[in-house]
Amino acid sequence: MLKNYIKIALRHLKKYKTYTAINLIGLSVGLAVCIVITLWVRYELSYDKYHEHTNDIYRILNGSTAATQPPLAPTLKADYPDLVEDVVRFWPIQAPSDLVYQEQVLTERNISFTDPSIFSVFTHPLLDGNPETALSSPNSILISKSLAKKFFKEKDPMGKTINMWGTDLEVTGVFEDVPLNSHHRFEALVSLDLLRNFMGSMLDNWSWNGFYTYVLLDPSVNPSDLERVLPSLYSNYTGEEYNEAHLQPLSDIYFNPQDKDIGLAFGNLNYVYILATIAVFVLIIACVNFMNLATAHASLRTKEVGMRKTLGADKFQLTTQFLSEAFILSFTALLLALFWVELSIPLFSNFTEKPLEALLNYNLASILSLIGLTLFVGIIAGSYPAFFLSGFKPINAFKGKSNSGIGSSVILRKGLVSFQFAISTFMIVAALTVFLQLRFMQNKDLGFDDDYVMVMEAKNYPLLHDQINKLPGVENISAAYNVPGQRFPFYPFRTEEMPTDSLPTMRTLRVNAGFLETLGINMESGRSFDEQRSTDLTNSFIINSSAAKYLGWEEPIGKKIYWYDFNEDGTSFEVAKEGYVIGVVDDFNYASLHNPIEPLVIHLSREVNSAVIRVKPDQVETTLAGIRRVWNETSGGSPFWYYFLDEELDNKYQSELKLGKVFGGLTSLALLISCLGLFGLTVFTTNQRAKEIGLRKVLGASIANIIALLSKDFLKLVLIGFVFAIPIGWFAMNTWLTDFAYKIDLGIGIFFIAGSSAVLIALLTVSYHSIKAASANPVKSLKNEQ
Amino acid sequence: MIQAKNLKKIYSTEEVETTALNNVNIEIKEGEFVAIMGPSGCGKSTLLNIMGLLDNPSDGEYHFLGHDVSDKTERERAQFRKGNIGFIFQSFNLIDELTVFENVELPLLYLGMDSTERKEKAEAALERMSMMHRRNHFPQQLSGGQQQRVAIARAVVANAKLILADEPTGNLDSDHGNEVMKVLAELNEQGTTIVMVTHSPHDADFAMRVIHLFDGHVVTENMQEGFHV
Repeated sequence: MLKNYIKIALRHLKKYKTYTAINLIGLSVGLAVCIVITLWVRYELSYDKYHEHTNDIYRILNGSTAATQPPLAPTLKADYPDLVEDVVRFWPIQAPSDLVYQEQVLTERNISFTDPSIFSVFTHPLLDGNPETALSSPNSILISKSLAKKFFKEKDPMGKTINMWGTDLEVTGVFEDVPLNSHHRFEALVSLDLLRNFMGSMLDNWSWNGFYTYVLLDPSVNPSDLERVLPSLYSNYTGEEYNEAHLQPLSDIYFNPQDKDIGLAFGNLNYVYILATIAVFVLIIACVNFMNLATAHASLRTKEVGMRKTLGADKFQLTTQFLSEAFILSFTALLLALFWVELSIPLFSNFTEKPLEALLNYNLASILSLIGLTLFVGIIAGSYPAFFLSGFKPINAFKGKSNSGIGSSVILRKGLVSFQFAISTFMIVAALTVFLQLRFMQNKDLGFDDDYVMVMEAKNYPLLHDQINKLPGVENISAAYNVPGQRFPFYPFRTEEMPTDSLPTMRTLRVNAGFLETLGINMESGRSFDEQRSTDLTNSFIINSSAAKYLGWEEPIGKKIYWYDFNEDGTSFEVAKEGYVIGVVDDFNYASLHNPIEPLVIHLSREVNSAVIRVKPDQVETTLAGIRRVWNETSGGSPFWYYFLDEELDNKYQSELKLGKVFGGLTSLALLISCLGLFGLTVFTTNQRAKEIGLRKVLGASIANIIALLSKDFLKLVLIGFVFAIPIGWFAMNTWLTDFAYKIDLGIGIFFIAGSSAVLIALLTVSYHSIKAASANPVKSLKNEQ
Repeated sequence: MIQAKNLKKIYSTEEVETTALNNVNIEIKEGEFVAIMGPSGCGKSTLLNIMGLLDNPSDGEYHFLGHDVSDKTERERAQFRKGNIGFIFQSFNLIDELTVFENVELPLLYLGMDSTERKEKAEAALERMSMMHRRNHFPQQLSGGQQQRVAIARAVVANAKLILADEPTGNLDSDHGNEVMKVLAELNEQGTTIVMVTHSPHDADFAMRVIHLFDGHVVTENMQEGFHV
């Protein structure tokens, strides 16, 4: 029996090629989108889950800050051995460091100081070396497989000596490269004991945060058990009340970065939800298509169904037959979908920079779930048409009556078209909003001029400055400790108006003279730093407008500020500079436009990290070459790196940029599928109405009249869908925009464009066939009246 | 076999009521060959549909094989139809996607017969109608006469007791038409009850009895004297 169904299903599909093609394409695209996005979602949700003890590893947070005190971890282990099985600290070196082996110098950014317990807490398999002893000596270093290859090529790295920061370190282990789906990565590990040589007793200091502390809890212990003891631990060792410490599960870190987080890459759980929802939407649209086309197509099968019933078929047998046809179609669509997936995964992987191909393995579990998905789609999409078709009365077969004109089914079909276009229009609105917000952020006036500004390392700065300044293409050169786009650190400060026991912090920017001018930052009042005035170096401050507002100063110029830094041995803060405000700058966006502008204090310092160079727009290439030359002459062989400030700042919106592109792609696909469905329906409706069209033409209708007649109904449906999409789109987009301190206005414009695009596209889809039908010779359709 | 008492069939739309059959009384015994004649629109097809359990009368009684089937649901009617009634239509109504053989075996499939038995019976029916040589062809590849022969094979393959034919020669030329009527006569000789709706007096001559319908009533009934062989 089943064989018979399959046979006739295949023959039927072959006979109606257009119908089959439309359905196959729509369904396979829908399935492919679903599959690809599922892979991405699975990858995102897999971060940090590869560790053996993932579920028992937590990070300690101080309030909303990820950085904790250095002695916290060992203290926890010593004082609470029944709660805490093990602890490990990380201190990633922020700046690139030189690793020297014989004559080779590699500058590596991803080096981390850590405790030997790292291998008991986390799972990083060692290819060489003993995890128990590898980091026991302060003069050990472990390197990743990739780093080993870079440094030592094919030779054995074990026992070799690498010099870092002037200290000889012995390679005691090689570890498997840290997987990409980790919240942090490292290419080399060194012992925290080594850090003691450089930081001394600051390692035992409770008054500063800088380390990341992870704990491995005993499986029977509840994280709240540990959280309960933290306040007393803090008051014991710091002498202060502190109740804000709490635990963050390891698997939570990727989606929930905190202040001062390790910050390699962070995921956005919202995007995971959004894309997952869209994937479901697209699949729904494809299934709706199937239902619509199948029920419209049913008009061609009234006779067949009637005949089969006359010959003895009952409803159950017919339903089974039509469901089998649905399954065959959806299974074929699945195969085609897998083809699309294989084709597009490399592109999508590249685009998202995630190795999604790795997840695309056809093991038993995934094959079963794919088959399950197909069955599900087949049932969902196929059941309504199956019931519809098997309900035809045999008697109608001989009257040549086509059932597809029945009221309830037509209403359902119309509703489904509107629904499809509601979803598609919503997606257009979303894609447009993302695009516009992105463009807004990229073009917004940041309060300084980031065009043609180059940032590079300020090594041997005085010499560098002089040489580069001589280059003809250089307009300006200056330097600072941080540049816009990097994190400006918080430092304690005090003003005369504040009580003496309060010590709030404010973001601080330390600069060389000329920095504000190089970046084109405007003074709101007062004056900028002047190199010639010695007091400017020792006791002058500039603040931004937000700081003035925050401090409640209407006349900031001349007000006194005490600025604090760490004391000599790093045990506490002391006044490092006291001085007067000489000027106020207009607020400028030194962080991403996700954040409002925070108060900022600026002062001169000889300590600089980065040089900023404004180059003449038409001499970029030659100037770059010149700068590179100067660097090679003055830096003693260090690798030369640089970036352009505007590109780097645009990069801050990478995730929005990517979201925008993905959205755009998905919207196009959703529209494609909806239009396929609309096209299919048009074909059937025009065929059905062939006689009517012929008659109208004979009675004098023009081609335009006919086209208007045929399109009118469909366009009404599209508009209805659009009307429903408006409130949902408005609400959803407004919610998304709250993520940004600086955002576009969600005006009528976006909705108008979305609506008219949808209508226009629908019109184009419908007109192709309408024009064909309208131009046909009326004699043909009237003659064929049976 | 068939007893119709005071059959009435009314079709209503929102505004119009059409009486297709009015007070029709008919009795057909097993083994009879009855022709139903009348002008277009007189209710012949409606009557045939009710006889074939494809539709229910609006009023009156209809007994088939001794059972009162006037008020049955479609599902119940289908049970009666299966294996008991075969249909032959003016426009053949073969399923285009199936081969000749598959068309003929279809009723047997729905009766749940296994494939060996089906093959046996379907091939026998095709032999009888001299269509075995085209068993793997599709309906579109056959002439009108051949298609009708396949349709007849399908109608008899399950050894139906009653065959209902609606203008069986309507779409055929006279030679093929004659062939078909000869086959029907043969079937009747072998014991199958045949009820045929026709326009053609020539075809009606093959029947034992002719019932004339006009505007939904039975007008006359004649017994024919001797029939064509």
